[in-house]
Amino acid sequence: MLLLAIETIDLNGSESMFVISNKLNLQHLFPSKVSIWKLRSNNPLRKSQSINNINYEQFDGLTKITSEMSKYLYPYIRAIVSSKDNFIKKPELWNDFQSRYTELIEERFNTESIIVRNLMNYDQNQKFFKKILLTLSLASSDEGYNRLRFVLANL
Amino acid sequence: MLQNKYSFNQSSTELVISGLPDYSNNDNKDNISIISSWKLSIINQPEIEGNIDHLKSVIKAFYKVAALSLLDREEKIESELIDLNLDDSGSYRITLKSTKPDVEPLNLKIGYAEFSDIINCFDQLKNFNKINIDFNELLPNINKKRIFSFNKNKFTYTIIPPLIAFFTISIFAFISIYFFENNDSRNKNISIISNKLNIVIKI
Repeated sequence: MLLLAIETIDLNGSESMFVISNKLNLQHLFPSKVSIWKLRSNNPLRKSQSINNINYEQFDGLTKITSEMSKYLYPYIRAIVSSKDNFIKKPELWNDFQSRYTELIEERFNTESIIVRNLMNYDQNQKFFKKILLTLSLASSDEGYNRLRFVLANL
Repeated sequence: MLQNKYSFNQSSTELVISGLPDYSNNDNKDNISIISSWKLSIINQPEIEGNIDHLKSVIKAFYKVAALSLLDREEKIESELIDLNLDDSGSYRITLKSTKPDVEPLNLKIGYAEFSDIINCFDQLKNFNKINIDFNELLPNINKKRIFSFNKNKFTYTIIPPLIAFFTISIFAFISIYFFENNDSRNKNISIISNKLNIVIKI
């Protein structure tokens, strides 16, 4: 869900993730864009879920990519969160994010699932989307990677 | 003696730390080991400042709330110097208490954006090697989730509905059995009477 939120903000997200993984010297884990996509397809909510065993190194690699991507996108993430905080004055950014994130969920996830349907419901998904953005913004700082790893390990 | 001053910025927030090196500890002249003052400025909010104890309490409270928010856990953060909690509208409410007598507590309300900016400034401070603050005592000590840990919400959503269903089915089953047995015994009584009638007729 975090990587999908990154893709929502960065229209060329999958390409950027691959570039970042190379920058972080993770070529041995993610030699191509498809290798990242394959790991992301492990999400049981996806339409085309494929069961690949993720090892610790790959999990750590994805965490590093997420943290590094949020660093680059922090100004945008912050602007969207700020739009939600001041929704009455400037709702545009939040509305755009919410509709595009919902569209991506509808496009990629199994819409027969009740969880996915709740995620597509505009009234119910706001709190969850806001928490996803908070997670990304707190993962963007110098301590972001450690914080994100701690949170993912304790979910 | 000239004080050293360092500032850490992130979007709406600026944290300024002033202090002196501890020469008895072989500190470099650029270092700060004795913090004399600090100031946290957030756009559209009053400035927050205080002594080292205040700073430590503030950092500790913010780090703990950040971890709890990400883990979706609710816990009230209250101490002698700061209260920090997430309210129903999704904003963070901060109450800063002064150690000076006759000074009213300062109440602030900040959103997620300002909250993450502040955490970002504290993270910059943590990784800045010229200011010596022991962050080990400030990091949140949150118990890792145990496999069989009791989660009230999870319990309510997962256990209660099947239990209600089971009891409902059981009650209906008992009622059905009771009626079935009554009808069956009534039929039996009727057949006995009819048998007797046949016997009587035969006589």
